[in-house]
Amino acid sequence: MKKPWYEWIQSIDRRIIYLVVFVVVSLPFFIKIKLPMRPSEPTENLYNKVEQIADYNKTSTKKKCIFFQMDWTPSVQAECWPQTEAMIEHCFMRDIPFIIMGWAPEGPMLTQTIAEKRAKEHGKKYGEDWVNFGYKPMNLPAFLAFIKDVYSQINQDTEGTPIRNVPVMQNVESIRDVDLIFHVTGSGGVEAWIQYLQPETGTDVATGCTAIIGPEMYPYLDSGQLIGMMEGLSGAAQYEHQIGYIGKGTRGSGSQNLAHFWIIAMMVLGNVGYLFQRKQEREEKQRLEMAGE
Amino acid sequence: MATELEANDASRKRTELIVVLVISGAVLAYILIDMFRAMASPPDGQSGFGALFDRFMVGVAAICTIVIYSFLYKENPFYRFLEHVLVGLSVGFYTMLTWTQLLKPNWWDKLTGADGLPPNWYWLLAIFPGLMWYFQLSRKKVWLSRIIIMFFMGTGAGLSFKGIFNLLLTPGRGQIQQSFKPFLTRFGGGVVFTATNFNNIIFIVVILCVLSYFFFSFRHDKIKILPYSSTLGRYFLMVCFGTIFGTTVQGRMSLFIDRLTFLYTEWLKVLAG
Repeated sequence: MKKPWYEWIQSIDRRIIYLVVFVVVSLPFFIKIKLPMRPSEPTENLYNKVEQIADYNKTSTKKKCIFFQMDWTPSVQAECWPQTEAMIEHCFMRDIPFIIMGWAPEGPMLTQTIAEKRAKEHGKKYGEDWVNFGYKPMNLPAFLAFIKDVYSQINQDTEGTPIRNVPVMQNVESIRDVDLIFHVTGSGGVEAWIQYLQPETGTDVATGCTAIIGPEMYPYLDSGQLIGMMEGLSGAAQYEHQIGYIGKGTRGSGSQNLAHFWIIAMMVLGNVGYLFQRKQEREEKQRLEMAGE
Repeated sequence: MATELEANDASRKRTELIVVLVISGAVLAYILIDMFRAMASPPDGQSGFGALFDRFMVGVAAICTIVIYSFLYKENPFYRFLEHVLVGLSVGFYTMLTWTQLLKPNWWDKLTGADGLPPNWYWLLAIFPGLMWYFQLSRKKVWLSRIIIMFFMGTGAGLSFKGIFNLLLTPGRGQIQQSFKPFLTRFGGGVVFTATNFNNIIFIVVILCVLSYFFFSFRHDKIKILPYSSTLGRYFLMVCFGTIFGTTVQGRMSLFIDRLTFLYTEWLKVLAG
């Protein structure tokens, strides 16, 4: 017997849905689909903060820097790579020095790769424009000691140079000389800076996070504990849009938008099918009851 | 009937095998052609063998990507194999990192004396508290592990309390302080009601409703408003969970887009990077 449409719609083979997702996501790689982009408030705030640092550095002899806490791994690089790339691009464009460190082993390695790639185009040099502390696993007491005195916990950079001899570090006597902590993560951890660093020094903290943990960050944005945020691939695309750079975020946003349209369409159709089926079942039940009477 | 089903099943399996063989053949042929093409005309500054090896690695990455996504069709031994390879690689990688980044610079080098420093044999003492953790594996001596866990728990709890209080009560930015939001705004000697104030009202209503949902000190029906506010609180929570689910889907899509970008740009090179 032929299934009614509302039942058919609820029992589409998931593999067909995946196949359509594949086609839909692939389309923008071959056909240019341009949708309007409007940066969200947290992304705009982050951009403004970086611009503020750049403006300060223009007029001051002692340059302020950004601390990149890179706690991401290859499993979340789809979202965290474009975020990191956009921020590095902005720093290079506006001549802001930065420091890389990570509590996850792969984060600083991948960030170094991005920095080296972008540095070639901007004529920037390792040591003068950025430094990489590398993977520094820290438990809480070690982290508190790091906040009190960076040099007590970090002796050398990833190249084995004592960090006191690295030119970027000449303007950094303590963590107070860092004007922004930019924490990129796939699984939280930004709270450590909010809980232990911010009350002591008042340093602004921002995050680049996966879309999954994005909603959890909004209370911190609302209270001002986080100054800004790049949320997922769309956050990276918005930031790229602000700095006028076309990177992985912008390239992926078309695919993401189409995929979302498809998912929303499937959800609506599935629910419409379910509602109709329920209505039919109710009517059938009433008919049977009446026939029984 | 049973025979007909078995025949259908066998026919489906045969078709699947043919499709897998065709795809595998095409993929392998492309990788081989790509490798030898790269070797014949290597990029500037790279040897022929280097270019061949690079393309081989890209090909391996592409095969891994395709095989992992084959799980979407159905569970298969190739997917299972790669899953185990991934777990094994991770364990190997992290074991190596624990030694090179953690134990060697922080313990071994200090113990044996590296970079011209004299050996410090007191670092041998660190072995004993470290080994105490492993008494977790013994039923009789598990109490020994509890001693060291006690120190970790004590330090952790103490510092976490400080962190939580900072999170909630830091002047100007604390979560509790920032939850008190104005319903009206002072403007030109008087007060006005702005869009921000409207937002603040929503904020306060949501907070109170959600808090009332988790209020278990006495029965909700004793105070007339509580059943309504807690029901509303439940709906607000559902909206929040819905948002988290939505962003999870967004995250998964991003992963897929990243892999497709890799396949189209780096492997198939049908698009410019």
